[in-house]
Amino acid sequence: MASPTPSAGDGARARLVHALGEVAGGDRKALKTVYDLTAAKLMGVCLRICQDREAAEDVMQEVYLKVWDRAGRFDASRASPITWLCTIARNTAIDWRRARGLGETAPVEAALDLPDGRPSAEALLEAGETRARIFDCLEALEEKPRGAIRAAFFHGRTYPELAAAAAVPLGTMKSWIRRGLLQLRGCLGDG
Amino acid sequence: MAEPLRPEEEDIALAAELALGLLEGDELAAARRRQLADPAFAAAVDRWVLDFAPLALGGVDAPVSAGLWQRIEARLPGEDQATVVALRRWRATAIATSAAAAVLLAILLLRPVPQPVVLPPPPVVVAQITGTGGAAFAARYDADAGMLHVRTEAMPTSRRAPELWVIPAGGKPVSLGLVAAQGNRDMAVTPAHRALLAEGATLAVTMEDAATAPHAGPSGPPVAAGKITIL
Repeated sequence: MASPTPSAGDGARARLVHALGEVAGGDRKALKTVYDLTAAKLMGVCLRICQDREAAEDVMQEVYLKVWDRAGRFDASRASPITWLCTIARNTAIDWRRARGLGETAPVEAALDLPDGRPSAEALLEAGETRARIFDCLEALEEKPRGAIRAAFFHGRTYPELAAAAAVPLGTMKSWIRRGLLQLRGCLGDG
Repeated sequence: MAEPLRPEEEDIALAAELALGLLEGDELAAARRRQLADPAFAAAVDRWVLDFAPLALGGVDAPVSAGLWQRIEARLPGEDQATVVALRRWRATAIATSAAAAVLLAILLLRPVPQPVVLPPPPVVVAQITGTGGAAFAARYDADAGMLHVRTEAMPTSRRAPELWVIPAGGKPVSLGLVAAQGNRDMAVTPAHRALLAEGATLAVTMEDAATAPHAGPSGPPVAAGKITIL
């Protein structure tokens, strides 16, 4: 995967953690560093949910303003910096969709059409991501729940949207996903 | 469904549904209320967020427009970072905060947006109080001790003294007493006034006659104001 996200091993992760620390102290240049290291990755997150480039870039502005505000709350013991940033981007994009009214922007038929975006073990290592079990656990699910859960994650789709996209009754979609979620929790463990 | 979920399974699934954003309408509202009221459930939601988060690394990147950074930079708080940095240090926590933007008398404050990836900090009442004339104050309230710590960062030169007011949402200003012309002042808040230091209330500073303070009402417009936020 060609990616401008941190890719120089521990060095890149450390640079990002360091830059976030400086952002917490009010350093604008450090925010630019964070931006340069992560914008393409976070734009991917936002664009998948917003389905509209202009909207995604509006959301991106909010994302980095949040990073500016919240950098001091980043806890490297709980998440890798890039996944922490992706979570902020995802939540901000989902909030934007909900504020706009759901379903307005999205070609829902595309909701289940996702690339198999499993990062390499090397990429995970480089990002400092230790919680990689989710990939194996998702892989172990049946195709329908797996696809629906991935669409929920990557596109920020709700139950009714997913049901419409898959042309199944709402109850069927809920059943697929809930069984899949329970199986995931069993696989991920309780700890 | 093939068979109904057991109650503990319902909770596991509901926490994941909230983490993923699957819910809408009443179901979403109910789950969010539960998240606020039930720490164990909130922890389960956080856990799901952390578990799902690495999936984002598998997503395809997307290029951004060349001018996007400039648009972000233009929206950052003013270039005068010295005050902001000083305020941050003074807050004396590891919590990064919203930087104040001095726009008229309305002031940006920390938004207590739930941030699922971090543990919530202990609640702290803070306000940044700024004005167009370069006045800047920061307030932190220690609810346990009933003490309001107010630091004067910058203030216009005046023979009068800065008096601090709390203005409840929709209410009248109530004097909390004089704050320092420069530096820190720790103010004991009377029990009757403590309940006023709530989220959404405004703290404001006016310039008053020190000899007759505290006053029943302000004699002039505020030189600085800011809303209280609970961290």
